[in-house]
Amino acid sequence: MSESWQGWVVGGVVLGALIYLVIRFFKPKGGKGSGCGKCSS
Amino acid sequence: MNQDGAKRWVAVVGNPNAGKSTLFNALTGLRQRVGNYPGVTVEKRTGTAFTLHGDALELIDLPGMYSLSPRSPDEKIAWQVLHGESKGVPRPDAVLCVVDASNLERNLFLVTQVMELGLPVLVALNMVDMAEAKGIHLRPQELSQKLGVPFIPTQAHRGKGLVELRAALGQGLHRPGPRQWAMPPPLAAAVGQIAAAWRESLPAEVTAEGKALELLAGSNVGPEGARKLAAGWRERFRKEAYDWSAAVIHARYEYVRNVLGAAGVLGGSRIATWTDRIDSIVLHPVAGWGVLAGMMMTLFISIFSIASYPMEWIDAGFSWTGLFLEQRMPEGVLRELLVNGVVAGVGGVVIFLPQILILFFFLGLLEDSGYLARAAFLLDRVMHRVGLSGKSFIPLLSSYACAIPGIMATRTVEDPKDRLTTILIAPLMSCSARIPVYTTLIAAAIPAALVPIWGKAAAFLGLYILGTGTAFFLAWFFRKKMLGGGSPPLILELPPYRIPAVRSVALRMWERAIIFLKRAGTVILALSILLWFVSSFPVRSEDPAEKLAGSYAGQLGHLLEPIIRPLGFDWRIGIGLVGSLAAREVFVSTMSIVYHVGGEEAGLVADMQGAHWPNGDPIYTPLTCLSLLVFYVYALQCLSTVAVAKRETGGWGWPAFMMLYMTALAYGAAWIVQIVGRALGFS
Repeated sequence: MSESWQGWVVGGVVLGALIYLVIRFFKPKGGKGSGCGKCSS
Repeated sequence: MNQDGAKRWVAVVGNPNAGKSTLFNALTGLRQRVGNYPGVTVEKRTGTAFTLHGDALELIDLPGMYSLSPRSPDEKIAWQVLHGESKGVPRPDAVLCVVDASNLERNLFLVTQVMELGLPVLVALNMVDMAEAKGIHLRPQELSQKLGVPFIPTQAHRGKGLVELRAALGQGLHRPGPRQWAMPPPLAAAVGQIAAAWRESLPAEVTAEGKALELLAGSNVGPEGARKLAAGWRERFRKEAYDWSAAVIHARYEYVRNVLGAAGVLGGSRIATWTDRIDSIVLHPVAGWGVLAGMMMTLFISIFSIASYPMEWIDAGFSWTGLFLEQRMPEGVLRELLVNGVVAGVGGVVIFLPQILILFFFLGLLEDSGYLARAAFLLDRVMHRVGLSGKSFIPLLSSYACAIPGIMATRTVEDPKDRLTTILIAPLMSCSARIPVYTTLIAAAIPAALVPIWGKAAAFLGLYILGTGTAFFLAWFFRKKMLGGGSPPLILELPPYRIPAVRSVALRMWERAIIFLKRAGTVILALSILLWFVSSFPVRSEDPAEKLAGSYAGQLGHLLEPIIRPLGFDWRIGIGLVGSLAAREVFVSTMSIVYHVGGEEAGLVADMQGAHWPNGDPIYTPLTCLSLLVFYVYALQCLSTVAVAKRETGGWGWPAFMMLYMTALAYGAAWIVQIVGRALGFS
């Protein structure tokens, strides 16, 4: 039961990370915050 | 507010390095990037300031410009704002000219041009302390009377004169009177005719003469009759070999000199200042290079020595967290994700925070002190030889922090071919994201007991020199062989030395720490989670090493191994290379996750040193580490750099070329290292 519950949480976290990265790298670029985040551009 | 209740817009203009952004920050309370060298601001920024009566003003901080004839993309931005042709920003209601009081003649040249825009003008006489230290007797009252616009003495970096400036901005500013400089006779006739043809259709506040000069300079904005007249005069001047633009410049300077003389502003003494004395050493053709090399070595030794203590603390913190989770959480996939994915991946990168902060501490000191402009001067001879102008230095220097602001800073480069070349080579400068990769691989290649810290620092310096040297060679190839054309001579302003402001350096380090940690908590965290997932599934064995080999990442690594085997890399390094395609530092996270999932937990460097080929030979020999280091010096492992290069070059063609040439260079160079190394008897 515990293992199954953990599996669902992990699945959700992995999917969330994937969606976050897709949005992060493919959102329209331009203006403030469009860089990699290492600079303040 | 205006009389009609609308917000008032005030443009902040001035020569590069006159302190515009410092004054902008002081008035708005913002933290716009500033530095003691020209060309820091390449875009317009807006912020709200308040007059003494509490009325809001919208300030527009513009890139520095020497004149109103735009030559580079950043100067064009300033020109567009001042002429009301910039999207999203109305034509300003007034202009705040920031002038460097220690260099009034050149700074007031721009003021005379701004006065002809037909907008109310206020002059901030900035850096009065520097001017006085140079022995210049400033007389703001007299200057105001002679030039016809108010002068307010300020020291923006110390916050002095701001109250007076706010008060002046709150009072109704007046438009300057008619032109006072004497226009040379042949030009006066031309300007008179063109202005007459345009005057009736112009708003009352715009000076027709200023517009006529713009038309003569080649602008195509204006009524057809005036444009035709301007073209006719241009042709006539060309036939008569009359350099009208030089005549205007000469006449303006003559006027400025007269104003300064009449106002009793006396020039500085010729006595050698501290700046001159220091420059005699740091700009010396031989000693200067020694100073530069010494500074770089000090920086790298500090990166290894001072940073080692906080790095050990951070490492211990993450190790404790991993152990805590392992002991307290029930066994399962969530615990694996947290220990082997999140803690190993994020911890693997966060550990390098002290090194990155030390880099920015040193860069902050060098920048604020004014030394970096001297380094540009030293390097100019080399840069000129490879076909680049000194203007490319600041973008390339910024790229040591991160290629993204570096590529954006190329907007100060006037020549389009120079600019493109600079964009193409900027990612070869070793950025801060390479520090984790370099440190890890140097530590894996060189056992700590055998080589002192300065040896590691020398290896670090060598990697920086390799990247920079190759960038210069390629600049020569791109500029002279591929794109063609000559390179303009360098006109570089050397700012006076200043004692770096502790607050400014500390603030910059704080900002970098926040940016770095934010990135570790977002992009690196998300990538670590995904990398853990692809390194852990599908589960085909309970044995950690076999589990990793059978995972998606393991399968991909094995698929890549034949391609990277000639470079001395195994399939696990292959996973690291793919994992770090988005960002270089992810290589360290990936390797950390790969070895954790693979059941190794002695620490990344120890895990790497213990890794073996199936025949028992070690993988991370000094030769393989060198190959991998050279690969990372050259490879364009940064999606954000590709995106910003696309934006700045206006298409996918050049970013694709950049990606291709850098990947080919990285592979080729790493392969040559292996071939030569093996021929010399290394394994």
